Amino acid sequence: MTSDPSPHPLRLLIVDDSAMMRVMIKRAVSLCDVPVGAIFEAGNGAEALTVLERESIDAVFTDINMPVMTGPELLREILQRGWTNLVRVIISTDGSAARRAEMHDLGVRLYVEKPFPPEVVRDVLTACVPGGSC
Amino acid sequence: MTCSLHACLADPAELQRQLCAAVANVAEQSLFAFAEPCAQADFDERAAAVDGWVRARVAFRGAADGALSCALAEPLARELLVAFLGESPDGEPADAALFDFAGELANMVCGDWLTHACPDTLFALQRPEVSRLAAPPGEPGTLILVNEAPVWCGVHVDKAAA
Repeated sequence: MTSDPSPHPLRLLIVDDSAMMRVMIKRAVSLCDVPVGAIFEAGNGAEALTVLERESIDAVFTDINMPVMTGPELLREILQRGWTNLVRVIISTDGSAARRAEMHDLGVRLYVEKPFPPEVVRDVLTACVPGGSC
Repeated sequence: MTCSLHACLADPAELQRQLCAAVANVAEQSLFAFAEPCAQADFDERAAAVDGWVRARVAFRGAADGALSCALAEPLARELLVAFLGESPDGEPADAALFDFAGELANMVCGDWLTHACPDTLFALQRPEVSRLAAPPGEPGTLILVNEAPVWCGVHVDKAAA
């Protein structure tokens, strides 16, 4: 009988044009008991693509409205490049049903609506680990 | 669900109720702060004791085109930034951090308001514009206390979409 291997520490990418929001999300992640190996940051979708080309990332948390390259544009690039194993999480002030449906069509299965308490990030990370819901 | 944006824009009391609810939601969820409506006389008295203000404006396009602005006393902005980050920065937060936070605050209030007013409608929010003010805006707006400090919130609509 074999036991399940321990999940490897998650490698995360946070994409938001607000540096303060990135700091807040990183702090929320640090409060979780989910093992996290590394956290990378990007200020827009184009910077995120550079990180994704260079690093092995398990999950990307992205805002929608950003300069240079928006969240939806980033998600389309991820689909085009076939990076479908990447867990995609939206963190946005826009919680409308229309936006959620648009993001679902782009492969997003987890949607966090700003404002949110830190424990919401814990629930999302728990869903991201192997055996989670996404 | 229907979009109540145009109805609330035509009803100042309803607009004030919705904006106050949005500010309260942001304050409670992300800032561990308490928000409540404020009467004009009380607001004026508290505002007179404040030296500087920070104003953030977020333009939106969708069922209506316009902008939402939030102006808050600068000491409150610094207090809320610390609550948002969950830690005290070394020394006073830099202006860049303060402006970034004020913009994100207005962004969250605007997004929360539009999502609740028009849950089925797509809006595009622009990057916030942030500036300092010597006094709160003189135009009509929603007057709110956050942690007993004055906050002004207002909406300007350019045109209604056909």
